Amino acid sequence: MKQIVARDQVRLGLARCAQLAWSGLGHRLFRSGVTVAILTLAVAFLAHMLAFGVLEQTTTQSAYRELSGERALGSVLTRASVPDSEAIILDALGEQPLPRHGQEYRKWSGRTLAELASASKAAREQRAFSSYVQALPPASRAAICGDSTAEELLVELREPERMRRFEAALLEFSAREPLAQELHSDEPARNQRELGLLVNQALPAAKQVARSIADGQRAAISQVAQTLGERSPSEAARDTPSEFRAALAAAGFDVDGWSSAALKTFAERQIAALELEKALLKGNLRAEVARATDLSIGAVSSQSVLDYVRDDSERAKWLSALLERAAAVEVAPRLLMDLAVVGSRQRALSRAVGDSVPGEQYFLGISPQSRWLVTLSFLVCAVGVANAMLMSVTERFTEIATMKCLGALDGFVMTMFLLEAVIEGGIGGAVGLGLGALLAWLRGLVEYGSVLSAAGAAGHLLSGLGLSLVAGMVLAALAAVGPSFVAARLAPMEAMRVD
Amino acid sequence: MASQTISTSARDTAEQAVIIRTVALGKRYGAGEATTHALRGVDSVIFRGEFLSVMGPSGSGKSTYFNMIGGLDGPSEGRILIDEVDVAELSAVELAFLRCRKIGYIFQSYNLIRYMTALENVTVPMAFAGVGPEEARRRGMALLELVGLAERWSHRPIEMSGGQQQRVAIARSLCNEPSILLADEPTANLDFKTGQDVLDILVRINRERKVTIVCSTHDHRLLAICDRIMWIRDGRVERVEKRADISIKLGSIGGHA
Repeated sequence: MKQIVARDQVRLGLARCAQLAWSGLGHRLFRSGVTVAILTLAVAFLAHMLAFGVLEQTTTQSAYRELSGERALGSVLTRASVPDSEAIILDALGEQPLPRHGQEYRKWSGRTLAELASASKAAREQRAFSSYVQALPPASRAAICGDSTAEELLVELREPERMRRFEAALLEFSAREPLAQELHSDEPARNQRELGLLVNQALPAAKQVARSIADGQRAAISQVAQTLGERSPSEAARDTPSEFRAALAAAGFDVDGWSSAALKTFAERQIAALELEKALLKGNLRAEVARATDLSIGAVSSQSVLDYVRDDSERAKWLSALLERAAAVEVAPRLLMDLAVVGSRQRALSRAVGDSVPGEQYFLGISPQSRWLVTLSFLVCAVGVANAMLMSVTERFTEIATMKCLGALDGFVMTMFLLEAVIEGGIGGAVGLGLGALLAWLRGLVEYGSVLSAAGAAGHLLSGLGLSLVAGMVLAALAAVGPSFVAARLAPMEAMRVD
Repeated sequence: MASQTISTSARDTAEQAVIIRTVALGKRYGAGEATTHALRGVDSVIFRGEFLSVMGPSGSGKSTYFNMIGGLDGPSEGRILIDEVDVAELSAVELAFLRCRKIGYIFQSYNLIRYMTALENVTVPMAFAGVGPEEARRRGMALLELVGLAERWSHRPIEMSGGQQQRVAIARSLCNEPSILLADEPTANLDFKTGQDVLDILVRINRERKVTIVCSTHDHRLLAICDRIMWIRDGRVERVEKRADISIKLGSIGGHA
């Protein structure tokens, strides 16, 4: 006789469950399509946020790099003609790290590294002192400093009498003003000694260094000037770029980053821009330009004129001829067009840099402000998915109950519904990811145009997009937990119900 | 009363082994004032290899009885013994095992999974039993052959008539070689001819495979086929008859016997 022996039912492997879930999905395309669509939207939103955040950062950074390169090139030409003041030099020495032209200062000063380092330290202390003084309330500042600025005060304090009065004032105010207290410190003796050292030794020494640098720069400028003749540095850079570059290098200017060709192009454009600016000061020329371009006379500027000739060689030829006729200035049409392109790119770059705080790092490019937006969208999506899954479960009561009559375990039903959700999440995630990336790219193009750059962001982009895919799947699974539980707990008796 | 029922309905000698026994089986729904007694102390036995019809009007407790002997619902009081094992003592996992391998279910509305082909439907319980896909396919085709639908293995339920769907459901119920087949009004949704086909298959399974069949029904054709008839009314077993006792009577009325 065949006996019934109750034993444990076989538990199905994950792969088999996934296979069954997949075959089920294939047959309920419409219903699962709704869930997939909801998930697609949520993931697209997240992916778009992440990708755009990354693009924003890389664009800002690359724009900043490009702009500062251009500016540094301009500042070499300036430094080669006008010596920096001692105050500017001292200020630059206080910067940390040293600016690019710090190397030039080192050469010109003829001092040892240690001397430069202590000068740099003194300059930093001066900066700190200034910012303390700046932060004081006006009344306290007037009482402590009198009419002097912080820099002047530091000079005045070398007189013992002034120092005593300063100390007394500090002592008086330190009771009320936290900042003065900080300056005065709990150890007046030590702080007083340090201030004394700064005022009497370090700062004068630093000023000496700054003076020697200024002297060195003047010598360098005159050395370069000998090769210039009657020309300005810009003209020399335009006409004889390699000789000029060599002269700059010989005088101690830092020209390592730039080829003589770059120098030439830059100088050409700078001169042309200057000439255009000057020519536009003439009234008759302005009037003629205004007539031709349909601008009001007041709106005529080098920028608006350049925008007018940009990408149009006929207009550029016209402007070039006009400049020659009315202002006796010779600027090639090609150069005008170049100037227009470079100018608009620089404006775009400045806009890109100005849009965000440089150096601020967000988590994977999502700003704190938009984080709640993402969270909210995911919550809404979770509710949508839970609802769709619940409907799917309700619709399939008989099917689930029948499966349980046929020997399905609660765990299997649960796993199958969860897997179904995860698969839907995966499909929705993949579609949403592509959609989101595309959206971010388009938005980037709209906001930054040609300045948009994704340089060096591949890793961040990939991890951001990967994260959104995973987030979609996790979201789907989480939203499906409730409905799956309902399905798993369904009584097999329901299968007998006739509707 | 109980022992009398058993003794009057007992068949001859070797075939008298009991496969399902209920002892003072009761089922209540609701609580307090609203309590309804679906079953009030049912003592019954079902013998191995027999074809039993359970008959009774709607609301008689027939469906409740049916669900409980199938292990789909637990009793409020009393016991259900399947092969002398108390169903109430089985864990959820053991119950699933029981439903999967020992009992086959046939439903009034077929309950085929609508997005699966006939063959896939038949192989679902085998997947739950851990049978490999190849083996399941082979056995599934053999079962479809048995119910005469081997040609239509790739059809989905929507492409088949009610009778064909029910035959697929019968094939599915047999796929893990159960000892008991529970058929809940298997012919209620079918016309005369296709209903007859289904009944023929059930009889064949009962005779050839020695599978115990319990069939809840309103279909009087079953009176001519089954070994015994259990009448349930008001939550109690009203009477149990052997076919031999009523066939003559029926023959004179319907002429099917």
